[in-house]
Amino acid sequence: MTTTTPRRPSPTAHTVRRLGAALLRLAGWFWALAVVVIVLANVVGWATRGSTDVSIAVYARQASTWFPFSLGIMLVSAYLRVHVASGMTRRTFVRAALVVQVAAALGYAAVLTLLVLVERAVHDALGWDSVITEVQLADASAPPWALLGDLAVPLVLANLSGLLVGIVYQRGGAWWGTLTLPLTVGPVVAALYVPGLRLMEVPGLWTTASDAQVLVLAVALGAVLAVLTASAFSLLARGAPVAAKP
Amino acid sequence: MTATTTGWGVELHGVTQRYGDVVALDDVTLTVRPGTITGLLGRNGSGKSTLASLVAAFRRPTAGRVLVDGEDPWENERVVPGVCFVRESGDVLDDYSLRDNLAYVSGARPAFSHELAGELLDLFELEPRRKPSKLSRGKKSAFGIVLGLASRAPLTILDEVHLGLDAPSRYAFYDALLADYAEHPRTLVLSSHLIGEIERLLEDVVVLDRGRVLVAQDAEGLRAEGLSVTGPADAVERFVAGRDVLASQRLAGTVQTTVRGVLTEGEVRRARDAGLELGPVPLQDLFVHLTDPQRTAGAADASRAADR
Repeated sequence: MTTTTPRRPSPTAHTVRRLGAALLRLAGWFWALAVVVIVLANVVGWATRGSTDVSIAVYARQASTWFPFSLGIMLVSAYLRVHVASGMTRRTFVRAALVVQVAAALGYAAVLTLLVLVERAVHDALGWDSVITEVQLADASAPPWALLGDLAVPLVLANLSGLLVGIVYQRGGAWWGTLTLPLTVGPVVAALYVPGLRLMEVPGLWTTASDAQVLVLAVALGAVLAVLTASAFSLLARGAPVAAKP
Repeated sequence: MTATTTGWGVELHGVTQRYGDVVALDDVTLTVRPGTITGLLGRNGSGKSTLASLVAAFRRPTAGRVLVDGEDPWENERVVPGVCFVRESGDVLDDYSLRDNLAYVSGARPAFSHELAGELLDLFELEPRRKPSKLSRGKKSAFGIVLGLASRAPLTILDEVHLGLDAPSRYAFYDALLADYAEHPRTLVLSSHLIGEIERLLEDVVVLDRGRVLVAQDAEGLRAEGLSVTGPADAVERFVAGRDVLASQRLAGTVQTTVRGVLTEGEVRRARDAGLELGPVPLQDLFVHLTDPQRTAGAADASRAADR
């Protein structure tokens, strides 16, 4: 007697659906909370000073960078072991994790851009300013595409960095995971704060180039760092042993 | 496209696995026949879980080759969906419901049976809405069994999956395993310390000791290497005198002794004449004898002396 093994659906697509659903649920909670905080902060500014002349929404940039970063770590620690134990390769996990993390980063950037623009429209209607005091390239006069590009670079890097941090901790343990943080998280910190050089008018390319040129440069550098981070994650994850749960 | 199989065989050629200074498996060469139920036995730390981890491509061997259905399983898109390794620690999403976990696994296992999964959930009284993190140890083990059997993988390895299960649940597991194995033949590897309980299921036996293969043969052949002698204490003691005694149990005036070796027809007749009952050797006794540290240390000394 024989058994017949039917073909299974694409493991990458299956994993993208599962990981995507998990991230979407958490993103729903995150943005619901963010909207409440943004509205409350605007109301407090109006109640105490008569108007809120800065963009509150753009401050969500830090939270929307580091929250999905932490979810990247969680994806590796919670799902890689289960993925392999369920009969799928590390290769398909890497593909799925990269797809959902990049998609999540772009989604977060899009939602944050939308919130900033909606808030700006409300401020305009009320006769308030929407000054951006966060360290970033796109200021209050920047077009939406520039704002989106500026927000997306650190978000994509952070999400990929979360995966890298997760796999380094998993493979190397607490010591290596912590000692390599400057390498694994450094690119995100650079993407977040290097644009500040332009605001500080430090001499050099960052100051002399036009807004558009600097933004294109930042996006290009971010893309290179993202590819390097994703490659490092892929390399480490594809050789990872799957230890028993402690 | 479909693949037709009666279960997948396993071959290990000179496999060594080291964890730092610790040698978990030492130059292991072994074959698991396709379509059999093989018992993987050994004391704690003998290398059973490591061996299963290599076969399931959970890790790569330090040296040697592992073949599953003729191919290296490492990152092998054809092979890994057909190898299901369920370990005692449980590889599930702790904070998702059992239903979500089943959905995750079923989407990855080509032959997954939702029908069998449902039956087993009922059998072990598992509520699909519960999360693994909220289950008792026995219930977690039961869920591992559900995943392992319902996956119907051509090679299924169950490593100490009975831990924490009460006796009725363990026997329900054995019955369910046999019933599904009969309907859907595949290769099953069972690792357990409850040798007396799983003995009846096993067709082949592999005994590991300190990372080396001590025994790898069919269970019947192994049982034929010894026998149990039951009867009045005096008669049993006289009969087994000078033989390799593996174990002995006394109940009032009756003794059951397990001895190693094969009897001649004359010896069998003499035993019957003395009112003794002869029976098959319990695997548990053979296992305890084979893995006795004093015995294996003596064998190692003898081997070293021979090398000199």
